[in-house]
Amino acid sequence: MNIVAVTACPAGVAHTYMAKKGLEKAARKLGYKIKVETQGSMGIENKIEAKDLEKADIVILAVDTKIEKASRFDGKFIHEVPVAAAVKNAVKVIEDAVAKL
Amino acid sequence: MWNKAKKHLMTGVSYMIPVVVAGGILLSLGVIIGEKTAVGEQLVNFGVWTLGLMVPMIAGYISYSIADRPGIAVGLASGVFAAELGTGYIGGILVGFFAGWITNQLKKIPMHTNIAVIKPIMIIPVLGIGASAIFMWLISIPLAPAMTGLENWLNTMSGSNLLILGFIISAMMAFDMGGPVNKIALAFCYATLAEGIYAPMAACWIGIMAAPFGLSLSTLLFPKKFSKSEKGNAIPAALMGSLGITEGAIPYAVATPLKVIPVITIGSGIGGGIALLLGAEAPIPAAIGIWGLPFVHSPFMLLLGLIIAVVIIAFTVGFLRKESDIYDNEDAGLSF
Repeated sequence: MNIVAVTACPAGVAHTYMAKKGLEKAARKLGYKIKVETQGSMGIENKIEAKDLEKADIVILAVDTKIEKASRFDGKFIHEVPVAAAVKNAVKVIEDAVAKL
Repeated sequence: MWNKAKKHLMTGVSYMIPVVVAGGILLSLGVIIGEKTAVGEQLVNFGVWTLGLMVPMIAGYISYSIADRPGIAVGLASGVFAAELGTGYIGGILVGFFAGWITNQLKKIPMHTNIAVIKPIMIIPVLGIGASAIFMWLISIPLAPAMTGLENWLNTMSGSNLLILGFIISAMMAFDMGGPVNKIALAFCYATLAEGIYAPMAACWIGIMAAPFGLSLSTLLFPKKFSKSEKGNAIPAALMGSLGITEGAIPYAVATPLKVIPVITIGSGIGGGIALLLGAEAPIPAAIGIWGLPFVHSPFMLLLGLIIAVVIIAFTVGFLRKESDIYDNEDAGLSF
Protein backbone atom coordinates (compact mmCIF):
# COMPACT_ATOMS: atom_id res chain seq x y z
CA MET A 1 0.00 0.00 0.00
CA ASN A 2 1.37 3.38 -1.03
CA ILE A 3 0.02 6.46 0.70
CA VAL A 4 0.59 10.13 0.01
CA ALA A 5 -0.57 12.73 2.50
CA VAL A 6 -0.74 16.49 2.88
CA THR A 7 -0.81 18.21 6.27
CA ALA A 8 -1.72 21.86 6.88
CA CYS A 9 -2.84 23.86 9.92
CA PRO A 10 -3.75 27.54 10.43
CA ALA A 11 -0.52 28.74 12.05
CA GLY A 12 1.58 26.38 9.94
CA VAL A 13 4.30 25.94 12.53
CA ALA A 14 3.37 23.01 14.75
CA HIS A 15 0.37 20.85 13.93
CA THR A 16 1.41 20.57 10.31
CA TYR A 17 4.70 18.97 11.28
CA MET A 18 3.33 16.99 14.22
CA ALA A 19 0.73 15.45 11.92
CA LYS A 20 3.51 14.58 9.45
CA LYS A 21 5.50 12.83 12.17
CA GLY A 22 2.38 11.04 13.38
CA LEU A 23 1.43 9.77 9.94
CA GLU A 24 4.95 8.60 9.14
CA LYS A 25 5.21 6.74 12.43
CA ALA A 26 1.77 5.17 12.01
CA ALA A 27 2.48 4.08 8.44
CA ARG A 28 5.71 2.45 9.52
CA LYS A 29 3.87 0.62 12.26
CA LEU A 30 1.19 -0.62 9.85
CA GLY A 31 3.77 -1.54 7.21
CA TYR A 32 2.69 0.96 4.54
CA LYS A 33 4.79 3.32 2.47
CA ILE A 34 4.00 6.98 2.95
CA LYS A 35 5.15 10.36 1.68
CA VAL A 36 3.87 13.38 3.58
CA GLU A 37 3.89 16.86 2.08
CA THR A 38 3.62 19.78 4.51
CA GLN A 39 1.93 23.06 3.63
CA GLY A 40 2.92 25.14 6.63
CA SER A 41 3.93 28.76 6.95
CA MET A 42 6.99 27.99 4.80
CA GLY A 43 4.76 26.94 1.91
CA ILE A 44 5.04 23.51 0.30
CA GLU A 45 7.80 21.25 1.62
CA ASN A 46 8.55 17.63 0.71
CA LYS A 47 6.36 18.08 -2.34
CA ILE A 48 4.32 15.20 -3.73
CA GLU A 49 5.42 14.88 -7.35
CA ALA A 50 3.54 13.32 -10.24
CA LYS A 51 5.61 10.13 -9.96
CA ASP A 52 4.70 9.78 -6.25
CA LEU A 53 1.07 10.28 -7.09
CA GLU A 54 1.13 7.69 -9.85
CA LYS A 55 2.06 4.95 -7.40
CA ALA A 56 -0.24 6.13 -4.63
CA ASP A 57 -3.33 4.12 -3.67
CA ILE A 58 -4.65 6.58 -1.11
CA VAL A 59 -4.43 10.32 -0.59
CA ILE A 60 -4.82 11.42 3.02
CA LEU A 61 -5.48 15.12 3.63
CA ALA A 62 -4.98 16.07 7.28
CA VAL A 63 -5.83 19.72 6.82
CA ASP A 64 -7.65 22.60 8.53
CA THR A 65 -7.04 25.11 5.75
CA LYS A 66 -7.35 25.24 2.01
CA ILE A 67 -4.38 23.53 0.43
CA GLU A 68 -2.48 24.59 -2.64
CA LYS A 69 -2.46 22.52 -5.82
CA ALA A 70 -5.39 20.40 -4.66
CA SER A 71 -6.31 19.62 -8.26
CA ARG A 72 -3.34 17.21 -8.39
CA PHE A 73 -5.44 14.74 -6.46
CA ASP A 74 -8.51 14.82 -8.72
CA GLY A 75 -9.65 11.29 -9.50
CA LYS A 76 -7.67 9.79 -6.61
CA PHE A 77 -9.17 8.16 -3.55
CA ILE A 78 -9.11 10.92 -0.94
CA HIS A 79 -9.60 10.57 2.81
CA GLU A 80 -9.85 13.97 4.50
CA VAL A 81 -9.58 14.55 8.26
CA PRO A 82 -8.86 17.53 10.54
CA VAL A 83 -5.16 17.96 11.21
CA ALA A 84 -5.71 17.23 14.91
CA ALA A 85 -6.91 13.71 14.07
CA ALA A 86 -3.53 12.87 12.57
CA VAL A 87 -1.74 14.35 15.58
CA LYS A 88 -3.80 12.46 18.15
CA ASN A 89 -4.24 9.08 16.47
CA ALA A 90 -2.64 8.74 13.08
CA VAL A 91 -2.96 4.93 13.13
CA LYS A 92 -6.74 5.28 13.20
CA VAL A 93 -6.66 7.83 10.36
CA ILE A 94 -4.74 5.42 8.13
CA GLU A 95 -6.84 2.41 9.15
CA ASP A 96 -10.06 4.33 8.40
CA ALA A 97 -8.72 5.36 5.01
CA VAL A 98 -7.75 1.79 4.15
CA ALA A 99 -11.12 0.47 5.34
CA LYS A 100 -12.94 3.00 3.15
CA LEU A 101 -10.92 2.12 0.07
CA MET B 1 -21.32 23.39 6.04
CA TRP B 2 -19.88 24.49 9.38
CA ASN B 3 -16.68 22.57 8.68
CA LYS B 4 -16.28 24.21 5.31
CA ALA B 5 -16.85 27.66 6.78
CA LYS B 6 -14.30 26.90 9.49
CA LYS B 7 -11.77 25.84 6.89
CA HIS B 8 -12.20 29.08 4.96
CA LEU B 9 -11.88 31.11 8.16
CA MET B 10 -8.75 29.21 9.22
CA THR B 11 -7.19 29.76 5.79
CA GLY B 12 -7.76 33.49 6.24
CA VAL B 13 -6.25 33.44 9.73
CA SER B 14 -3.33 31.41 8.46
CA TYR B 15 -2.36 34.03 5.87
CA MET B 16 -3.03 36.89 8.28
CA ILE B 17 -0.86 35.74 11.23
CA PRO B 18 2.61 36.70 9.86
CA VAL B 19 1.35 40.21 9.08
CA VAL B 20 0.00 40.66 12.60
CA VAL B 21 3.16 39.34 14.23
CA ALA B 22 5.39 41.65 12.19
CA GLY B 23 3.14 44.70 12.65
CA GLY B 24 2.73 44.08 16.38
CA ILE B 25 6.47 43.77 16.94
CA LEU B 26 7.30 46.91 14.93
CA LEU B 27 4.65 48.83 16.85
CA SER B 28 5.84 47.58 20.22
CA LEU B 29 9.49 48.27 19.40
CA GLY B 30 8.52 51.82 18.55
CA VAL B 31 6.64 52.21 21.83
CA ILE B 32 9.60 50.79 23.78
CA ILE B 33 12.11 53.11 22.09
CA GLY B 34 9.74 55.99 22.70
CA GLU B 35 7.14 57.51 20.42
CA LYS B 36 8.73 60.94 20.85
CA THR B 37 12.04 59.90 19.28
CA ALA B 38 12.35 59.99 15.49
CA VAL B 39 13.14 56.27 15.19
CA GLY B 40 10.41 55.27 17.62
CA GLU B 41 7.83 57.37 15.85
CA GLN B 42 8.68 55.84 12.49
CA LEU B 43 8.59 52.32 13.91
CA VAL B 44 5.14 52.97 15.34
CA ASN B 45 4.01 54.24 11.93
CA PHE B 46 5.41 51.22 10.11
CA GLY B 47 3.81 48.93 12.68
CA VAL B 48 0.42 50.59 12.36
CA TRP B 49 0.59 50.47 8.56
CA THR B 50 1.50 46.78 8.62
CA LEU B 51 -1.34 46.06 11.04
CA GLY B 52 -3.62 47.91 8.64
CA LEU B 53 -3.25 44.91 6.33
CA MET B 54 -4.84 42.64 8.91
CA VAL B 55 -8.50 43.08 7.94
CA PRO B 56 -7.84 43.10 4.15
CA MET B 57 -5.71 39.95 4.54
CA ILE B 58 -8.35 37.98 6.39
CA ALA B 59 -11.08 39.04 3.96
CA GLY B 60 -8.86 38.42 0.95
CA TYR B 61 -7.80 34.95 1.95
CA ILE B 62 -11.21 33.79 3.13
CA SER B 63 -12.35 34.77 -0.34
CA TYR B 64 -9.35 32.99 -1.89
CA SER B 65 -10.19 29.86 0.06
CA ILE B 66 -13.74 29.91 -1.32
CA ALA B 67 -13.16 31.07 -4.88
CA ASP B 68 -9.46 30.49 -5.60
CA ARG B 69 -7.29 33.05 -7.34
CA PRO B 70 -10.07 35.35 -8.67
CA GLY B 71 -11.31 35.67 -5.09
CA ILE B 72 -8.14 37.40 -3.86
CA ALA B 73 -8.67 40.78 -5.53
CA VAL B 74 -12.35 40.93 -4.62
CA GLY B 75 -11.65 39.88 -1.03
CA LEU B 76 -8.72 42.26 -0.48
CA ALA B 77 -10.70 45.26 -1.72
CA SER B 78 -13.72 44.25 0.37
CA GLY B 79 -11.46 43.95 3.40
CA VAL B 80 -10.28 47.52 2.91
CA PHE B 81 -13.94 48.61 2.82
CA ALA B 82 -14.57 46.70 6.04
CA ALA B 83 -11.67 48.44 7.77
CA GLU B 84 -12.50 51.92 6.43
CA LEU B 85 -16.17 51.62 7.36
CA GLY B 86 -15.22 50.86 10.95
CA THR B 87 -16.46 47.27 11.11
CA GLY B 88 -12.99 45.85 11.81
CA TYR B 89 -12.16 42.20 11.90
CA ILE B 90 -15.75 40.97 12.22
CA GLY B 91 -16.77 42.96 9.16
CA GLY B 92 -13.71 41.65 7.35
CA ILE B 93 -14.68 38.04 8.04
CA LEU B 94 -18.29 38.56 6.90
CA VAL B 95 -17.36 40.40 3.74
CA GLY B 96 -14.64 37.84 2.99
CA PHE B 97 -17.28 35.12 2.86
CA PHE B 98 -19.51 37.32 0.72
CA ALA B 99 -16.65 38.17 -1.66
CA GLY B 100 -15.82 34.50 -2.15
CA TRP B 101 -19.45 33.62 -2.74
CA ILE B 102 -20.09 36.41 -5.25
CA THR B 103 -16.86 35.56 -7.10
CA ASN B 104 -18.05 31.97 -7.48
CA GLN B 105 -21.40 33.21 -8.81
CA LEU B 106 -19.71 35.52 -11.32
CA LYS B 107 -17.51 32.69 -12.55
CA LYS B 108 -20.67 30.93 -13.74
CA ILE B 109 -21.75 33.71 -16.13
CA PRO B 110 -21.79 32.12 -19.58
CA MET B 111 -19.61 33.96 -22.11
CA HIS B 112 -18.51 33.46 -25.67
CA THR B 113 -14.97 32.05 -25.82
CA ASN B 114 -13.72 35.03 -27.83
CA ILE B 115 -14.51 37.46 -25.04
CA ALA B 116 -14.10 35.06 -22.12
CA VAL B 117 -10.69 36.56 -21.36
CA ILE B 118 -12.31 39.69 -20.01
CA LYS B 119 -14.11 37.69 -17.34
CA PRO B 120 -11.19 37.30 -14.92
CA ILE B 121 -9.68 40.73 -15.58
CA MET B 122 -12.85 42.81 -15.93
CA ILE B 123 -16.14 41.20 -15.05
CA ILE B 124 -15.21 39.43 -11.82
CA PRO B 125 -13.12 42.20 -10.23
CA VAL B 126 -15.46 45.06 -11.18
CA LEU B 127 -18.79 43.43 -10.47
CA GLY B 128 -17.41 41.42 -7.53
CA ILE B 129 -15.90 44.43 -5.81
CA GLY B 130 -18.97 46.51 -6.63
CA ALA B 131 -21.32 43.95 -5.11
CA SER B 132 -19.07 43.55 -2.07
CA ALA B 133 -19.01 47.32 -1.63
CA ILE B 134 -22.80 47.44 -1.51
CA PHE B 135 -22.91 44.45 0.87
CA MET B 136 -20.29 46.03 3.12
CA TRP B 137 -22.02 49.40 3.15
CA LEU B 138 -25.31 47.74 4.13
CA ILE B 139 -23.91 45.64 6.96
CA SER B 140 -21.81 48.52 8.24
CA ILE B 141 -25.02 50.37 9.14
CA PRO B 142 -25.71 48.12 12.14
CA LEU B 143 -22.19 46.72 12.54
CA ALA B 144 -20.08 49.88 12.80
CA PRO B 145 -21.97 51.29 15.84
CA ALA B 146 -21.94 47.83 17.43
CA MET B 147 -18.16 47.61 17.03
CA THR B 148 -17.72 51.13 18.46
CA GLY B 149 -19.91 50.11 21.38
CA LEU B 150 -17.89 46.96 22.01
CA GLU B 151 -14.70 48.98 21.75
CA ASN B 152 -15.88 51.59 24.26
CA TRP B 153 -17.11 48.93 26.63
CA LEU B 154 -13.79 47.07 26.52
CA ASN B 155 -11.82 50.31 26.82
CA THR B 156 -13.65 51.45 29.92
CA MET B 157 -13.47 48.05 31.53
CA SER B 158 -11.69 48.04 34.87
CA GLY B 159 -11.35 46.22 38.16
CA SER B 160 -13.47 43.12 38.57
CA ASN B 161 -14.71 43.28 34.98
CA LEU B 162 -11.14 42.93 33.72
CA LEU B 163 -10.61 40.06 36.13
CA ILE B 164 -13.65 38.28 34.72
CA LEU B 165 -12.69 38.99 31.11
CA GLY B 166 -9.18 37.65 31.71
CA PHE B 167 -10.53 34.59 33.49
CA ILE B 168 -12.95 33.72 30.71
CA ILE B 169 -10.45 34.15 27.88
CA SER B 170 -7.62 32.25 29.55
CA ALA B 171 -9.98 29.49 30.69
CA MET B 172 -11.41 29.10 27.19
CA MET B 173 -7.94 29.02 25.66
CA ALA B 174 -6.80 26.26 28.02
CA PHE B 175 -10.04 24.26 28.15
CA ASP B 176 -9.68 22.24 24.95
CA MET B 177 -5.99 22.87 24.27
CA GLY B 178 -6.23 24.13 20.71
CA GLY B 179 -9.74 22.94 19.87
CA PRO B 180 -12.83 24.90 18.79
CA VAL B 181 -13.43 26.68 22.13
CA ASN B 182 -9.81 27.81 22.07
CA LYS B 183 -10.22 29.11 18.51
CA ILE B 184 -13.35 31.11 19.42
CA ALA B 185 -11.48 32.85 22.23
CA LEU B 186 -8.52 33.45 19.91
CA ALA B 187 -10.78 34.95 17.23
CA PHE B 188 -12.21 37.35 19.83
CA CYS B 189 -8.70 38.42 20.85
CA TYR B 190 -7.73 39.08 17.21
CA ALA B 191 -10.92 41.12 16.79
CA THR B 192 -10.06 43.35 19.74
CA LEU B 193 -6.44 43.56 18.62
CA ALA B 194 -7.61 44.96 15.28
CA GLU B 195 -9.46 47.66 17.23
CA GLY B 196 -6.34 48.57 19.21
CA ILE B 197 -7.49 46.93 22.44
CA TYR B 198 -4.66 44.81 23.74
CA ALA B 199 -5.78 43.39 27.08
CA PRO B 200 -7.65 40.29 25.79
CA MET B 201 -4.59 39.08 23.88
CA ALA B 202 -2.57 39.16 27.11
CA ALA B 203 -5.04 36.72 28.67
CA CYS B 204 -4.79 34.67 25.51
CA TRP B 205 -1.03 34.29 26.04
CA ILE B 206 -1.53 32.93 29.52
CA GLY B 207 -4.25 30.55 28.38
CA ILE B 208 -1.90 29.15 25.77
CA MET B 209 1.23 28.76 27.85
CA ALA B 210 0.16 28.03 31.42
CA ALA B 211 -1.10 24.49 30.74
CA PRO B 212 2.01 23.06 29.01
CA PHE B 213 4.37 24.86 31.41
CA GLY B 214 2.37 23.85 34.50
CA LEU B 215 2.13 20.20 33.48
CA SER B 216 5.82 20.00 32.58
CA LEU B 217 6.71 21.48 35.95
CA SER B 218 4.40 18.99 37.60
CA THR B 219 6.34 16.06 36.11
CA LEU B 220 9.51 17.50 37.64
CA LEU B 221 7.96 18.09 41.06
CA PHE B 222 6.05 14.80 41.25
CA PRO B 223 8.06 12.36 39.12
CA LYS B 224 6.47 9.32 40.73
CA LYS B 225 3.02 10.29 39.51
CA PHE B 226 3.82 10.41 35.81
CA SER B 227 4.67 7.70 33.33
CA LYS B 228 7.96 7.51 31.50
CA SER B 229 6.52 8.83 28.24
CA GLU B 230 4.79 11.66 30.08
CA LYS B 231 8.07 12.66 31.67
CA GLY B 232 9.77 12.40 28.29
CA ASN B 233 7.10 14.70 26.90
CA ALA B 234 7.80 17.39 29.52
CA ILE B 235 10.58 19.19 27.66
CA PRO B 236 8.92 19.11 24.21
CA ALA B 237 5.66 20.28 25.80
CA ALA B 238 7.38 23.19 27.56
CA LEU B 239 9.29 24.14 24.42
CA MET B 240 6.14 24.05 22.34
CA GLY B 241 4.35 26.05 25.04
CA SER B 242 7.08 28.68 24.82
CA LEU B 243 6.36 28.89 21.07
CA GLY B 244 2.69 29.51 21.71
CA ILE B 245 1.41 25.96 21.20
CA THR B 246 -0.87 24.49 23.88
CA GLU B 247 -1.18 21.03 22.37
CA GLY B 248 1.83 19.65 24.24
CA ALA B 249 -0.53 19.43 27.21
CA ILE B 250 -2.80 16.95 25.43
CA PRO B 251 -1.00 13.70 26.40
CA TYR B 252 -1.48 14.51 30.11
CA ALA B 253 -5.14 15.29 29.57
CA VAL B 254 -5.57 12.05 27.61
CA ALA B 255 -4.12 9.99 30.46
CA THR B 256 -6.27 11.51 33.25
CA PRO B 257 -8.78 13.98 31.76
CA LEU B 258 -10.73 14.75 34.93
CA LYS B 259 -7.59 15.47 36.90
CA VAL B 260 -6.12 17.75 34.25
CA ILE B 261 -8.74 19.61 32.21
CA PRO B 262 -10.62 21.32 35.11
CA VAL B 263 -7.30 22.24 36.70
CA ILE B 264 -5.74 23.82 33.62
CA THR B 265 -9.01 25.63 32.83
CA ILE B 266 -9.40 27.19 36.27
CA GLY B 267 -5.67 27.66 36.88
CA SER B 268 -5.13 29.46 33.57
CA GLY B 269 -8.28 31.50 34.19
CA ILE B 270 -7.01 32.75 37.54
CA GLY B 271 -3.63 33.68 36.06
CA GLY B 272 -5.25 35.47 33.12
CA GLY B 273 -7.62 37.39 35.37
CA ILE B 274 -4.82 38.54 37.65
CA ALA B 275 -2.59 39.62 34.75
CA LEU B 276 -5.35 41.72 33.21
CA LEU B 277 -6.30 43.23 36.56
CA LEU B 278 -2.66 44.30 36.97
CA GLY B 279 -2.70 45.98 33.57
CA ALA B 280 -1.01 43.48 31.25
CA GLU B 281 -1.67 44.14 27.57
CA ALA B 282 -0.27 42.32 24.53
CA PRO B 283 -0.27 44.19 21.22
CA ILE B 284 1.14 41.17 19.38
CA PRO B 285 -0.57 37.83 18.83
CA ALA B 286 0.27 34.93 21.08
CA ALA B 287 1.41 32.96 18.05
CA ILE B 288 5.05 33.71 18.78
CA GLY B 289 4.90 32.60 22.41
CA ILE B 290 7.06 33.61 25.33
CA TRP B 291 9.73 35.08 23.04
CA GLY B 292 7.39 37.99 22.39
CA LEU B 293 7.36 38.90 26.09
CA PRO B 294 9.68 41.93 25.70
CA PHE B 295 7.08 43.50 23.39
CA VAL B 296 4.21 43.22 25.85
CA HIS B 297 2.98 46.20 27.88
CA SER B 298 3.60 45.55 31.60
CA PRO B 299 5.54 42.33 30.85
CA PHE B 300 6.13 41.66 34.55
CA MET B 301 2.41 41.64 35.28
CA LEU B 302 1.87 39.16 32.48
CA LEU B 303 4.74 37.05 33.74
CA LEU B 304 3.33 37.19 37.26
CA GLY B 305 -0.07 36.01 36.05
CA LEU B 306 1.61 33.24 34.06
CA ILE B 307 3.70 32.10 37.03
CA ILE B 308 0.65 32.03 39.31
CA ALA B 309 -1.24 29.91 36.79
CA VAL B 310 1.73 27.58 36.25
CA VAL B 311 2.24 27.04 39.98
CA ILE B 312 -1.48 26.38 40.59
CA ILE B 313 -1.58 23.85 37.75
CA ALA B 314 1.68 22.11 38.67
CA PHE B 315 0.77 21.57 42.32
CA THR B 316 -2.93 20.82 41.90
CA VAL B 317 -2.36 18.21 39.20
CA GLY B 318 0.48 16.78 41.27
CA PHE B 319 -1.76 16.42 44.33
CA LEU B 320 -4.77 15.08 42.43
CA ARG B 321 -2.86 12.41 40.58
CA LYS B 322 -2.07 9.09 42.18
CA GLU B 323 0.74 6.71 41.37
CA SER B 324 -1.90 4.26 40.17
CA ASP B 325 -2.76 6.67 37.35
CA ILE B 326 0.39 5.73 35.53
CA TYR B 327 0.09 3.58 32.49
CA ASP B 328 2.75 3.51 29.88
CA ASN B 329 1.53 3.89 26.39
CA GLU B 330 4.17 4.47 23.79
CA ASP B 331 1.90 6.45 21.49
CA ALA B 332 0.59 8.83 24.14
CA GLY B 333 3.67 11.00 24.00
CA LEU B 334 4.04 13.49 21.20
CA SER B 335 7.51 13.61 19.83
CA PHE B 336 8.37 16.86 18.15
